[in-house]
Amino acid sequence: MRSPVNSSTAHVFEVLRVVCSAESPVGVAEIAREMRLPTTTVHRALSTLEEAQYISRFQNGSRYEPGLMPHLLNWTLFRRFPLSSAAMPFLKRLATETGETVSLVVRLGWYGLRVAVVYGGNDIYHRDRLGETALLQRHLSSRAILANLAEREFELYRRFVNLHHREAALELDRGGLRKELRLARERGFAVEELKVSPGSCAVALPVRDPDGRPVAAVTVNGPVLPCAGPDGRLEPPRWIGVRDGLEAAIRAEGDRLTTRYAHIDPDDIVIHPAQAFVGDPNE
Amino acid sequence: MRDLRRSTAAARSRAEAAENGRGKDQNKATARVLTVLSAFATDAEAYGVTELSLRLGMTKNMVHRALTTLLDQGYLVRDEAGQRYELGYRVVELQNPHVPEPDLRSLCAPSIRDFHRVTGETVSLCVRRGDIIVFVDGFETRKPSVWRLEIGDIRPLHSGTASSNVVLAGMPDAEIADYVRRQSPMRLRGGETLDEAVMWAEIGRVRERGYAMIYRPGALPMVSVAFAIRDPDERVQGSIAVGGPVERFDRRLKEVLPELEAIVRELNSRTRLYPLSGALAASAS
Repeated sequence: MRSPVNSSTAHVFEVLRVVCSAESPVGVAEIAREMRLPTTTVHRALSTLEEAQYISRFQNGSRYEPGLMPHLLNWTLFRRFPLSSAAMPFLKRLATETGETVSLVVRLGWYGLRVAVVYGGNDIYHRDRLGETALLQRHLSSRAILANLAEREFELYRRFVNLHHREAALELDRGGLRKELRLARERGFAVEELKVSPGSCAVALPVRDPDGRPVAAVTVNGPVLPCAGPDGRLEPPRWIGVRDGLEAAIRAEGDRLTTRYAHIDPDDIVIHPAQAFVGDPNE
Repeated sequence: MRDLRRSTAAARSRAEAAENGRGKDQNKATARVLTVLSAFATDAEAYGVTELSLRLGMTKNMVHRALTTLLDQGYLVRDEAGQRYELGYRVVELQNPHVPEPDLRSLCAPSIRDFHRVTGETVSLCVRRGDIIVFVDGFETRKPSVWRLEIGDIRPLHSGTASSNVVLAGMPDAEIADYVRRQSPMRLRGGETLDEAVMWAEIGRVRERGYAMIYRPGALPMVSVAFAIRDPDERVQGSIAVGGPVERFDRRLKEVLPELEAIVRELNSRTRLYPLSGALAASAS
């Protein structure tokens, strides 16, 4: 099959991805080494990207970091999910009630994408980054979605992970994750003990469409629930009704709120495995 | 489509800049591809080839080639009907968790520079915080006779500066009425009281013009103009202003006003995308 992308354009996009996935600002030589390209080619690519505001110079020096345009494109993408604005009043209510960070993660194929964050008023807060994208098994929010997939869908997810994210496939069969997903399904919400607050948990509530399919999750990231005792029993948080209000709003709106990218086969949505944002299992 | 016409000029100038490039240092074909992708950072849901071609001032053939490349890269997808193009999910790969999200100041920094480049005068950026505005950024001119910029300075919304007037005028009438009730009597810096009718008349003028312009008398008369900065819900979050001595700046200001308005349109096309839950929203009370 003919690729319509000429090689220099492909190089420019590759350079952009290197800058966008680097842990710190990168220079021409470093990128050239990583991509095994001549420095002149990389320099040209960087100039093109800088002029278009896709990258910018770090502290006006010779190293580069992502520019404004990637942010603008991502903000536009988040706005394409109508559920994010519909959920905002509910997220704000939860943030006010708990004082903690509340966010909405929507399903994007077999990933969870954080499209809205509201910070509560507590002095110490947990930073949940907009745009964070993770395989459904990787983060608390996404696991609230994964736990509630129908069996057939779960198997499709497993096949996808085996195909595109081999490093994550083994985790799926680990006892810890399987037990966590079972408990989340039985309880109706997922929890995760906070490293900074042992004995206390953050909570993620699945959000379902009118057919009962999990399409999103609302997460309250903070010590809002004591961790379960040895018997695994855990009372639902008192503010769980706020999520029910969001589900009622979805029912009232029909498909409009939940069908973004539904015309694309989830198996075709593959986020670059080298991207740091795909999710760190130890996070 | 709402902003299509208004943003056409800015998009075209970006396209022209991409076309001219910096000579040998740039890849022109790729610059066009990036220009087309950047055009999707707007309110518009999806674009067709003709629409983009008109907006960017590129031939349909060029646009089509760029769209094909962007589809192949996954940064665009076809819409449900398969006729038009919309932003693709793969742009999430262009985020970097190690880089902080831009705040209002960094979002406005290029516009502050452009305001100064065009006018040569002092530029200020302020945000609304409840019943006051706070000056958070700007650039003071190096010329003699300078409109002073004090970062961190605060003013009540009724202070009568161009910056506060444009913020006040951007509020709904009911909110202004509540403000007046809370602040009454509305004291000014000199100790006198602002007449409510005078305030409403100025609000009317600002709304009609789309910006606030103030002439301040005195031994050295000053003129300043301020424009609103809006969030995705069209609420005014702050303002960008420029001012200087009447003697030096008045005529120049009238000449460059359309250029300043174009810069503000471009700025607002960005601030309107800013996530409501982000730092921009946090700057308003």
